[in-house]
Amino acid sequence: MVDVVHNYPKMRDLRRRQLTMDIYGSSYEQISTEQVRKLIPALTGGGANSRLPIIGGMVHKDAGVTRHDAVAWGYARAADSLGVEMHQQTGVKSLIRGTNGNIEGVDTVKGIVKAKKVIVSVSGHTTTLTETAGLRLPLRTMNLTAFVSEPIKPLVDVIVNCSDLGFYFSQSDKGELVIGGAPDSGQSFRRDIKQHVFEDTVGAMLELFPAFKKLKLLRQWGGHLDITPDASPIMDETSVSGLYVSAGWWGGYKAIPAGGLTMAHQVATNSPHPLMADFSFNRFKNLDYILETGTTTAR
Amino acid sequence: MLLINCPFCKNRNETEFVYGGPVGVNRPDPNISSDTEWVEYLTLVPNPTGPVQEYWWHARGCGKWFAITRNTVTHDILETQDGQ
Repeated sequence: MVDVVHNYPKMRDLRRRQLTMDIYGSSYEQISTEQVRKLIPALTGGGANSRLPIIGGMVHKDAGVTRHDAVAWGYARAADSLGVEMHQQTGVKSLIRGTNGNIEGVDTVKGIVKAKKVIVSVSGHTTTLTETAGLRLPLRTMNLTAFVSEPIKPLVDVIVNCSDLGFYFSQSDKGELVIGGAPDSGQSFRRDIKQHVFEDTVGAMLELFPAFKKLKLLRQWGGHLDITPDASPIMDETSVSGLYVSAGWWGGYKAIPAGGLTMAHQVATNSPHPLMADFSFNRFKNLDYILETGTTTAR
Repeated sequence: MLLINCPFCKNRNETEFVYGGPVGVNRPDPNISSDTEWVEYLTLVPNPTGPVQEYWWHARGCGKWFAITRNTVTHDILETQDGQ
């Protein structure tokens, strides 16, 4: 993954993060503009005479690109072969609480499913569901713009993140460029993109990659995700006994293999996994926020 | 793009405005509120699938702060409240 940097305060902040990540043994290094251009030959814009010249970059050498669908379906197949039942096209209408206040199950469009333990992991609609159990959670739902180009030959083999101009992209196995932009202003459940956010993102991309100007865009979508006050996820049991929440995964699916494992540990043993113990609801009660180095919003 | 009805300039494009965050509850008096109330004030905001009240600032216009009620699913603006 390569961060393309255009201003010195950003570079200083990324260098600070490099030092933090060094403590934990992760590789994150500063590179020169020439090295950035060598890693990304398609990056021909952002020269000395451009509106925002590139001053350098950061590279995360440990990072890689995986195909998210393959990961999701790999987990689904493995779970299915272990006897887990999955009900697609079965929307959950509300959570059911018993007379003692504990969770008793979920009410779906196809009927009631009883359960002693329920995990809510529904991304942007977490609060919509937990409100039916009378809970108020520190989450806001935002809309994130994304779109995909027509497939082209292999051209870029890293994730390019350019937070100063407000866009990031990577090339998929099929050759499409998968491009993302800044979140919309204000809370949103609309699942669509706004034209001016789209234009800003495309404009930023063409400034650095003028060769992409002739690319046709195939499809667009808005993904809604929930964000916590400190932009780190929540993995914890709620104040309703038996009701767990895995939410606030602002920034994508990347951490979910670890998130799933640690959440399963919590549900099975009723005690938090050491890796996730900090991601509790209690941190908000004590205003003891997690300051992660790599969250999307922190970038 | 939202068409926001600024109380002073009338209908203007969303790109002229800066989002100012959701309207929460009024700031409790820290001298008499409990820790729980204070933390709730700091961390909890309404997150409905429906109308939500939020501040906007006409930064690239007249500079006015005001609140609107906007549907988070359809993005329809239902009401504009003039500030001070």
